[in-house]
Amino acid sequence: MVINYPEKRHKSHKKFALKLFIFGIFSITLFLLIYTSFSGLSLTGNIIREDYLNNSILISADLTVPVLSLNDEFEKIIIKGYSDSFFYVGDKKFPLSNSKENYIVLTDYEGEISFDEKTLSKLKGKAMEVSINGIPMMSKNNKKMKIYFDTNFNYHSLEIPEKAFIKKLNYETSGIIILDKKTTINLHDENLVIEKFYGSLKIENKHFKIKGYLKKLDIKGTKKISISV
Amino acid sequence: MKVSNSRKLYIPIYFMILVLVGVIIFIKYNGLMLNNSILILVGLFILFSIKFTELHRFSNSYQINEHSFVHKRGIFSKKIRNMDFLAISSIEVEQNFWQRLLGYGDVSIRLYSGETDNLVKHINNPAKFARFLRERIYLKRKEKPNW
Repeated sequence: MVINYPEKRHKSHKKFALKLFIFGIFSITLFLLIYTSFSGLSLTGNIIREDYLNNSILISADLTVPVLSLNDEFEKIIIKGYSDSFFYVGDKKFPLSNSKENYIVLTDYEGEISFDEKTLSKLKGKAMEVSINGIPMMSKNNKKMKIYFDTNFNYHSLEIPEKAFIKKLNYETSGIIILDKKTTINLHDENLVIEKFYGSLKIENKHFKIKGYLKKLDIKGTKKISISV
Repeated sequence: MKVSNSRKLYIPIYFMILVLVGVIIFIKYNGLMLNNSILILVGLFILFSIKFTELHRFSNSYQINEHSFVHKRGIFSKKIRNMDFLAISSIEVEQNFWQRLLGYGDVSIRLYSGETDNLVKHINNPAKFARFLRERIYLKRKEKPNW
């Protein structure tokens, strides 16, 4: 007598495979979650850097200041300016009205930063180290400190020395753009579109200076230029 | 009486979701870096897990009506099995240690034709379901004394 249970065996194999698949996805997700958070590795950051070195347009520009909002991780942000209000760091608050030239340095900052020509309308996030007018504040137990301005901050200069990422910038501007250290483009109230810029950024004396790499550039106005990689 | 698979069956999946959410809360609370791509991956895992468990739950339904026991299987393609009360010879409740601890289990229904099938799987309170089915069968047989 021969007994066969083909269907049951097939079903249990299928069930086991499904359970293994779900557990596999869970394990990979959990591993990535823990690894990226505890090792301080920024997956997107590394991907961006490698990709940009291989395939991008080198740009250096001096333009008028746009209205821009960034939400990312930044190694360093340097701000000079003043406010009538306070700057909040962790559970402490610092008056900014005492000086017209407060000097703030944020190290390992993660969060939002929004600005226009004159003011920082939003700075809300977390930083590992904050220095206000030369007084440094370090985080305790490797925890990032919450920081924010409660009102607009009037800045004289704002600098992100490296690894600033602008997904898209579209505005009417004037100034000079130098591409790949050889092509110079002068803009006079023309529409500029920059996509996926990665590099340094500095705003000073109403000048928006960027230096780095980008994936796409469009100029629409008296001249029409479109470059993409 | 109509029942579906117990949600207790999916406790391991809910536990996985809980672990992921717990790790995210821990990371946020400690001010550690939380990668957006990984956060999206976690969100997708949670979304698909809940969707999958709910779909799986509704793919099997068991109903005791006036004359028969009905098992409906499938979501897109349906398979409906109807078993007359008079064709059922015995009912067995099966619970392993964990099922007993959590209050769910299987009900095995045997037919006079000799066919046995673990028809009712992973339902809450299987003893109550079996008792209700037994009572219905008893009443049906009482209605037909010559059977």
